[in-house]
Amino acid sequence: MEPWMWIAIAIVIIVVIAVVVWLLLRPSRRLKKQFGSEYDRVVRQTGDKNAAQDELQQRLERQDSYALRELNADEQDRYVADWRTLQRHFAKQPATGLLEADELITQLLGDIGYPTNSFEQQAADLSTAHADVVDDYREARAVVRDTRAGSAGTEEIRQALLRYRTVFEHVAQTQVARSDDEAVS
Amino acid sequence: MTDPTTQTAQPLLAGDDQQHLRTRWIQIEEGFVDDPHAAVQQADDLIDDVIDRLRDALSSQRANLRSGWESLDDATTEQLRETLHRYEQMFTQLNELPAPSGWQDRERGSRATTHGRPTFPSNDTNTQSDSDMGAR
Repeated sequence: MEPWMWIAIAIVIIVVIAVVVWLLLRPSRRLKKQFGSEYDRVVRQTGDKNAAQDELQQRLERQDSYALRELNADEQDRYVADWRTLQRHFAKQPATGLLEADELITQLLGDIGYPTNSFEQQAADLSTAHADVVDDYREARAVVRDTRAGSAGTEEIRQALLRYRTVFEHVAQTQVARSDDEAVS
Repeated sequence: MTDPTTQTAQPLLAGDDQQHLRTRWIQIEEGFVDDPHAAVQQADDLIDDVIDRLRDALSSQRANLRSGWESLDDATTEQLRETLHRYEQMFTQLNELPAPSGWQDRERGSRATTHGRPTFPSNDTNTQSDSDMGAR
């Protein structure tokens, strides 16, 4: 082959790679992939795709400014023990169990380096590193509100507590044993 | 022989058994949130097991008492009196067993949850005995 043909092929390859990289790195695509359903929620809330992308981009930058850390094994064990205790409290008094779960998650978020000023802030922060569980967090939180108002039923509170547990396990990077895990005999 | 009236009450079940049963109860309570129906079934099984164990413990307590006097061909009246006193203790213990404390509340409790809505915790402290949350 002539040298100019090699150069032409090289240019074509470079252009194709550049286009693919550009397509993959477009902010909308990148943010959509990272934030999942939260992306759509913020777009709905702001009513404007660009504003939503700015908001999400800001969240990412804010996240970088936090000094986040992971729990060590002892801390994980203590948190799990606390979680199991509040599951027992749920069986006695559902509202108490759920409110304790709410507090424990806030405590956990603070413990690993998130600011814990307001629920909206916590949900926004959670959406950057734990996008999978933000929906659970928001829905459980709505039931906490109903529970405080005295209008949540036991089954509703139970579902909320299970959602909170998903969030808890995700953030604490650990598992709470299920009753089927241990032979109850 | 020690005076039977000064004997302190012993729990019917051995410490290990009690611990084992308590652990099972804790697991059932923890599991309620995952599967309420299964938890209630497990609670029923647990009580069944407790009843069996109590029956065994009581039977062996009675067997002890009986072997104490049956083996004596010429028991003195005083020995028989002491034996009778031990039977009386067992009888009184069983005859005056208190009902579980929750039972008096059943009527009130079932009415309060008719709408499936739990009562909001206020200063009702009777269920918070093991609250060890938050101290970190």
